Amino acid sequence: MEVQVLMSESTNSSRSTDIPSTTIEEIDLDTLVRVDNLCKYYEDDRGLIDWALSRDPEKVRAVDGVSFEIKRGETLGVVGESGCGKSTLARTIMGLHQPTEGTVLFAGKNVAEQVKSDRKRFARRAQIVFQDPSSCLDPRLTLREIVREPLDIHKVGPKPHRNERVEELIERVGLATDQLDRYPSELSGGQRQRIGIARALALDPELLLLDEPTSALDVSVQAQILNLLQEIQEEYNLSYLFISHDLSVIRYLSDRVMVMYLGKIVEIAPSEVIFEEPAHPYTEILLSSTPSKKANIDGKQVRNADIPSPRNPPRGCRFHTRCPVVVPPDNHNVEFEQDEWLAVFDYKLRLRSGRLDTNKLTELVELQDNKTENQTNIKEVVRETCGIPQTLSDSTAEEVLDDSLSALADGDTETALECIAVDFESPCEKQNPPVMHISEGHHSACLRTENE
Amino acid sequence: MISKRTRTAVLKELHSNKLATVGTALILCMLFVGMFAPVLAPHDPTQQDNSQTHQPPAFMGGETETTRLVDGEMQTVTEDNSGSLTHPLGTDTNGRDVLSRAIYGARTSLLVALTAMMASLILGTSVGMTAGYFGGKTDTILMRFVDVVLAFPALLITLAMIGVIGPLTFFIPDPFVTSGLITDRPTHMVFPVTITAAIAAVIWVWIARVARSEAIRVKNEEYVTAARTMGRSNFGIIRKHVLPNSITPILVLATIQVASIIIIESSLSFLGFAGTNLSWGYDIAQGRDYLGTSWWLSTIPGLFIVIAVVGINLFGDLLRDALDPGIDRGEV
Repeated sequence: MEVQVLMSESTNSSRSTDIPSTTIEEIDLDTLVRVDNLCKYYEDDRGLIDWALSRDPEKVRAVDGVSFEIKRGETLGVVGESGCGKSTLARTIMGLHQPTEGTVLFAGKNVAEQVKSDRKRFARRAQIVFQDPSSCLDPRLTLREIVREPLDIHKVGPKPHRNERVEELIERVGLATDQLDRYPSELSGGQRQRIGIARALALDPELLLLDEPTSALDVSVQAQILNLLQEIQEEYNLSYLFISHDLSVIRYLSDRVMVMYLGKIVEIAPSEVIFEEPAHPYTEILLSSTPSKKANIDGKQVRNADIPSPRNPPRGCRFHTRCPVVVPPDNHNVEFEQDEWLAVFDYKLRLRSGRLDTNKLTELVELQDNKTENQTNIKEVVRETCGIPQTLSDSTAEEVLDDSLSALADGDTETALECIAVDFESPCEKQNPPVMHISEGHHSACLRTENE
Repeated sequence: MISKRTRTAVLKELHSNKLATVGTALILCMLFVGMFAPVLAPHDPTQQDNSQTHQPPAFMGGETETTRLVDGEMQTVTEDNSGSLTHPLGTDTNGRDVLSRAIYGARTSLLVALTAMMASLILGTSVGMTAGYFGGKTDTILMRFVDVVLAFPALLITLAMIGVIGPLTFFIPDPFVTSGLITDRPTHMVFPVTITAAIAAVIWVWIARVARSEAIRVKNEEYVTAARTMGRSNFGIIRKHVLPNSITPILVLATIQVASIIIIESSLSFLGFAGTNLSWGYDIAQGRDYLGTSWWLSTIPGLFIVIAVVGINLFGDLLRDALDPGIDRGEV
């Protein structure tokens, strides 16, 4: 049941985005790649028992309703924590995975179909540079064979011509041609990554997907590779989709930046806008996580360091379990001070995730010097743990909270949750935030943006 | 086909590892003996001579006193039954030369072992690669079949197959005899087809399992994904990337399996399913009844089996050490 509800939500929300949904004919020549409501779910293998009970396998929503476009000659940076679906996105765009839903159009043509009918033709237009330089080169081939491989597959010209082209590419990426008969194991990480780039360039593609190309390298080597990427972009007139979790690297190379969280786009904007005026709380947190900045926004830190699993992502806004600025309930029964609200919301999250079960409560009470585990003590301890003041400013809210705490103290977590389910429900939990237009090219998916 | 790097690695390993050298020498000897059996064997291994039965190996035996009936009365006589250099390893119940039989036995064993190995290598690698690379249903179906074969003892399956197919042998003309270089030797080599096929049918599953696990390991490497984005076909990827990167453990296993094939072949011959009587196992079975008096009948072919098996295993270790770490450790 839960699964179905989530699915319908995700589809609805992505259709309600205000990025204009053009049809194939309307595509302008500037757009190289257009991704429309792309979803990629991984399914666990259905075991025998699942099959016998005709149970649906669990789905991992790696990419869930993502829409954007890449213009010719631009660099689109993609940032996000690990597990947010960046790499899956890149591989689905490359046609290495079939999308579960939605389409990727490359120069107006559907990639999934093109790859099925003629992968070679598509290979000439889009290539990928991989993250791990130790695994992306076949250890049994010499460098010459590795760089020549795409030329061999596509039978580009006669053999001597291919070898010339290989030498040309090797020199372009800054390696000496006398290294061509070596094996990848004899090279350093940076040199291997250069070979990876040379190989990707061999077929003269229009789009290069850079899947964290520098994350496995030393900082000094990173800079060299980034410079190289920048040079060849101009020289070969390439478009980049640049994936990284490193903001400084993204900032250096990207024209536009897209921030992803748990398979969804939370914000997309020109590079300088993202870094100067981030609109989404998640972006702000990402930015503040770079050492040079203060590690909080508005004096508040990320509440909960656990990233929810993409198997069962939170309902509504996926960031609400960690968001430091969750929108207070919009019903008129209760009113909150922002601080109070966050504490109460914290209480609710703890309650829901089962972090306030009987054992935990006993433990908490014992930590305090009150030895007796009676109702009043438990209530007090819970309030203290979540940072809720002794009495809330709103009397209705206080009543509701007290009911809930009493139920919790009696060991009835379900009733405790039920008490606060309606009155303390944030819009962030209910509603999938629509992607809002903020300024030219700046979109963000946050309810706060809408309210402002 | 063998790259320069591989050759260097093997030579280096040969230099540094004494045991590996011994193993390689043993294997080369066996191959040499098997190949040039008609030249090396001092006698025709099938030639019977009833006046020369149960002769001990050279420098063994000697004068023995026996009591027996001579001219109607019991007498203690001294008999000279010492080995001679004519039959360096003695003769058997029918007066056949044991050394010649062992040399010809090497030929049969190696013929069966190498043919069965090639067959299982081809079948096992193709099935394993297909199952591992494509995965999913293909994998499930193929590997369940492999599991079924693996679940039975190898000897049982081969016996059943021999029962079903029946004995089938090929006679291959011996080049040395046909060309007239050597006379007085058997004119044909006997190649027991049924036994070879039956052995291959149980050995390939081991190869298939290793090939599959290797294919699964390699197919998740990024260079395979890279080859796919370059537009290489699945078959091309298997041939160009997956197979070359998984061949080392397969080859090592295949080498060591040659030893177990030799043992299976000898066991079958011992049990009387030989298809040829020029086989180590057959000779051991023949000599079993005389272990007390003529130990050499069973011991000599037994020693040949031990030498072959130990040699092959040592050689397998050499291959493993030479081919694997050279790439993993990034050595030249």
